[in-house]
Amino acid sequence: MQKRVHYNSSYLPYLLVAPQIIITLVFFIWPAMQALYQSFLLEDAFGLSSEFVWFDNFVELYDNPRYLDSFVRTAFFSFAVAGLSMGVALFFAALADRVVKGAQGYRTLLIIPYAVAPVLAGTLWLFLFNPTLGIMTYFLDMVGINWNHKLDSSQAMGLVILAAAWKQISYNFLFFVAAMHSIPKSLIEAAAIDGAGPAHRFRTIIFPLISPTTFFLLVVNIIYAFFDTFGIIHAVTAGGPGNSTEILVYKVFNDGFVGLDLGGSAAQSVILMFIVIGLTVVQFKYIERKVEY
Amino acid sequence: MVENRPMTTFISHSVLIIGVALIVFPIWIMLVASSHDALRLTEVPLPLLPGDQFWENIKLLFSSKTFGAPIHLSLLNSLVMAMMISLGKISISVISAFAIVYFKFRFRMFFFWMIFVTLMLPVEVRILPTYEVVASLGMLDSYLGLSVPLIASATATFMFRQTFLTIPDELMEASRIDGASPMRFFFDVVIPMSRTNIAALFVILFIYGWNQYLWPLLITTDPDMYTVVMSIKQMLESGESEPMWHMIMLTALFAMLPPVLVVIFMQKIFVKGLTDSEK
Amino acid sequence: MSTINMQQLKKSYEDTQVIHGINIDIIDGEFIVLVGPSGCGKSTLLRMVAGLESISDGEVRIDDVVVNKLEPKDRGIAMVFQNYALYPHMTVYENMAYGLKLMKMPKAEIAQRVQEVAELLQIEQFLQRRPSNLSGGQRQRVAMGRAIVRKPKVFLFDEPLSNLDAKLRVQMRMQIKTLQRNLGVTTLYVTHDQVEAMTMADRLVVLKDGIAAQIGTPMEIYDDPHDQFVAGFIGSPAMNFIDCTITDAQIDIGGQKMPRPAEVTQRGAVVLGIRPEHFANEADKTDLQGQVEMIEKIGASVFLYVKCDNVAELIVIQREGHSQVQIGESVSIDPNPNKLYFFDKNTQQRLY
Repeated sequence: MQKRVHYNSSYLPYLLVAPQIIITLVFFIWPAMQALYQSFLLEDAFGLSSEFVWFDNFVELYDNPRYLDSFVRTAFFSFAVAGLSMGVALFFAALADRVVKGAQGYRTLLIIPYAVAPVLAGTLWLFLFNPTLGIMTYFLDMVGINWNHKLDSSQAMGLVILAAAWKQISYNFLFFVAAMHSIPKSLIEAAAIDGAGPAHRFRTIIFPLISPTTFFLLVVNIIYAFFDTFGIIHAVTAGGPGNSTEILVYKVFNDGFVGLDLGGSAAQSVILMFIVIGLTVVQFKYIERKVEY
Repeated sequence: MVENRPMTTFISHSVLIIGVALIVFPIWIMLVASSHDALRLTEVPLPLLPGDQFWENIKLLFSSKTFGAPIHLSLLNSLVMAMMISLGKISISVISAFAIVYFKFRFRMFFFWMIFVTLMLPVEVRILPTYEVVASLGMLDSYLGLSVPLIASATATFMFRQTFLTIPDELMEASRIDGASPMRFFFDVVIPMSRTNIAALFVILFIYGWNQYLWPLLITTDPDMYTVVMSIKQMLESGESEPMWHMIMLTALFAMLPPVLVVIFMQKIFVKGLTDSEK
Repeated sequence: MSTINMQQLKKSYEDTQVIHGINIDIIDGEFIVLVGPSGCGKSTLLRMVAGLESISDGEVRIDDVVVNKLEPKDRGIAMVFQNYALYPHMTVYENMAYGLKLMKMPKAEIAQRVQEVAELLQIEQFLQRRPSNLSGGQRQRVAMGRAIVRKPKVFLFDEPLSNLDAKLRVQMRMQIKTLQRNLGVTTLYVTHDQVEAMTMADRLVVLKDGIAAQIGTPMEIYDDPHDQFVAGFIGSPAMNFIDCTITDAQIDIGGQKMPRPAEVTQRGAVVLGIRPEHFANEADKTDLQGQVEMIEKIGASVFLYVKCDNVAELIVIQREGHSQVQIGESVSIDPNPNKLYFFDKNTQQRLY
């Protein structure tokens, strides 16, 4: 899509794009190049000398079970977060679509988690599930469950998934509501005349019609779980216990800033970049299709 | 609502109320905890209803310096960072989108793709080298360092591009006949016609900026430059004893209040802007 | 006030040429309509005069000044767009005042001018409204007001009525014409609607594929079209074109014969053109016969669609409104011998 008419000006457009291009070059392209370059270097522990080692850093990652574990864990974490938050959001949206009165009020309350910083979300859930004090821990104890995510790795994973999904429900809810809103009323009415009840209508008409949104949200949620949940992990578990919640982004940070393994961290960054590029391409393929029709 | 079934409506409402209550529960507990004193928050079970120490706690929070940076300073830092990021992103995106939509010039597509690439490089994946660049520019522990590296945004540029493409070509031509230069047209027609998008984007970007965590964590070492969001983590880690939960929860309340208020009061515009961005 | 001259005007986009050397001289106060099918280049031509499209070759002069390189604002023109192009975020007043403000005209003078024009167009009561709160016809008048308020040397109209409903279109047609006559401003008007073109123009320019097929007053073009395209484009319903063969004795139409007008000296296959209104009413001379396949009644008259043996197209014949002819009936076709047009089968040029 393009304008039919344009201004002719020799220097103005360059002036207008300059700020963004300069920032992009200095803080995006250049660091990305650096990461790429560093991923081929092996630096000694004091950062005094470095050696060009080609793909050694990548090979090392491939051979490193801790990295591969982190990969699998990240995938599991992402799909769990996406599935949980989208499922809950869809459920709420379907209900909210049915009620006329009060829909605005529900929305206002459901929107709040979106504005909460990930690290704050993590802190809130940490407080709820605090092994000694937490109110949820207390309730769980009453039904005979012993909660301690500082020791139990699957409980730790469950908690970060819960906190991450909680934050994303608002976003998904808004998109599902918008998608359902854009379904022509006449379609729903036609189905009602055909004798389809609310549940049946949802399954056979509404759900298929919002499937493009569902797909879009799936990609967005996975990107979110991959990159925006750093604060949650950092606050709730710091990757523990025993690396059991260490997802890829967290590992890049940990290996680079804490472990000072610059080459390895850079190689991980490069792999992450390729993952984002892949996800972005998928997302844009979808957006393009939507724009065309 | 297609048919009138009072029973299903009643059930829908009940389920929604329970659901919303569950979603808001962590925030409720935060409010409750911030209104009790330190002692009460060491007794199991923790309270489910607010106490009477809220104002006392606020006084304590604002007078004390034992929790890292003074809270009013870190709140100010957060505000400055969030405003710089949101307004900076909007300004540079709106002018670059204007150039790309309304001008024909050499390397136009090249620039467009260059901006597009930023979409694929979230700060989390280029964190180390970006840190090095900022350090070598001497921008550590400064507002510029906090905001500028996060300012380039493909999303905002695309959103504005989309908006501008829906402005009829004839308006530009009419303004040319009226004698408006490109920049006059930009300020007199394009900007006023994009007001809603700018406002919606502001909400999204303000929240994005305010909630930054990893980036300020890395580039600030001076407590006077800490943002309120990152000071939470500092408080969680302070000392060996149990954290001071009532203070942490109160700080959390202050840390989430500005973005929550922004999103609630600009709800309509925000929802429209957010769901439109899918297009 | 103003003249416009176009000399060998050409326009190309990359390697496709869309305007092929157009010459038009417009005298002061004239109302010129550019008419043609879509894609004929009429809007492009208008936009070249406006300065919205660059000129590839040739020149445009306004008042004997070459304006090829001038910015639109410096050409002394005002334009009304098809979709009106009103600034949606400004009131009617601001819309009209915007150009004047950019000219750095004093506020009081702007207010006075806008007021005058608003009165002229009877839009005073809308001055503080936004365009979105106006009807189509009102918006159209505001767009005209914005043009008039600049006191331009030349008005340019780009299909200004095509977004209006039929009734309003007829009204506005009259209003624009009257207004233009009173203001005496030289006007270029683009339309694809030949009725609009005929009723409004002092002179018409019929464009086809970037070439001015014919320039003249509406009646000149109606009575004396230079080629088959112009003949078919002007007039409603369109002229009938019938393949026929001229022999020494007569004209052969699919086997039926008709006397040859004396002045036609051509022999062989040609295209015969007859306007629907140029048939005798209720004729009983029976040179040509055909069968009525369809009837269209529009009140004042009736159009018969008649099938003749060995003639591919149905022939449209106009009869008076109360004609009792039925479908399936056989009618005689009796063209007025003085209103026959002959066109070359290949070049489509008019022969007689």
